[in-house]
Amino acid sequence: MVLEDDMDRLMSRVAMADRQAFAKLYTHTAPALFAVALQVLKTDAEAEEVLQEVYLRVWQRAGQYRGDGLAPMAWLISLTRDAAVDKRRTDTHSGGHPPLPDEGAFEQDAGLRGAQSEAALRFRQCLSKLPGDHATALRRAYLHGAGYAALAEPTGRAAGDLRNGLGQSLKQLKVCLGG
Amino acid sequence: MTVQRGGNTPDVKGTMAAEYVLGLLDEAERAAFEAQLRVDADLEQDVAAWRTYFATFADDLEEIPPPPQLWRRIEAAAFGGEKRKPLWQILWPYAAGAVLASACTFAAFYFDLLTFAPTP
Repeated sequence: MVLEDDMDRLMSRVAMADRQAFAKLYTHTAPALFAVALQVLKTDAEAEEVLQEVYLRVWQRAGQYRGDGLAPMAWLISLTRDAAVDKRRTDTHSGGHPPLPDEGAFEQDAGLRGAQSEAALRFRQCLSKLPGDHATALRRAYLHGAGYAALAEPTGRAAGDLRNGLGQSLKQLKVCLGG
Repeated sequence: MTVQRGGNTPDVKGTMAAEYVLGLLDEAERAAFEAQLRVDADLEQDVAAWRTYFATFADDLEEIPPPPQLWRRIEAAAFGGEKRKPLWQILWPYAAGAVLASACTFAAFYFDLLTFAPTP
């Protein structure tokens, strides 16, 4: 993993079609993005397709992340996560329903390895104040692309109830995060 | 805020942005939200903020290096249209030019085209 500053510079060079910078960006970020894609998709082949799509988009539109208002790594993770979820949904419509991966309860200190950004620490703190298993539900929705129905299933509650509950938690989260 | 949640629960702007980022809106809600997003800079900021926070969920994941052939595929797809040409393809226009120039010079001398009228 490279520092955000270096990532910024790297992205600017990629935006100017610098092939070496693109290769370096790939080397530094692909293992993290592959892990993200594999959370959502069940086979390596599907995850590879998603990564290829994401990096081609980055090569063609590296300048865009500023416009989207995100730091480079958050932008890359967002692109990958969204592309993987889209792929999963399209494939689900045409084929079998891939089961969601097993997910243990959200662990508050699971991410305390390595350097954490300020945003990550604040987010984690605010998540830990949410009632019940709402932090886990949000994590599953993001990392696995689980919808309300899939999230509600193991709890035995109706999807609508879960939505109302999560809505309250999101409000609380927003206040806690300062806006 | 003009976007309404399904049913009659009034939307809370910030949480609908979160649901949008998480992919939890149904199709109609998503379309309505995206229409609002195009004209509402505040909403766009909310979306960016949620994306930033939710992306930190990925911090916990153990990195997994993709297979080496993936980079080769990406490289080929990204740079494929502008592959390096073989040397003869780069040089042939120059070679053709040189041949043509020689031919002209030869013709000029051979047919005596360069003889000037003797100065009086």
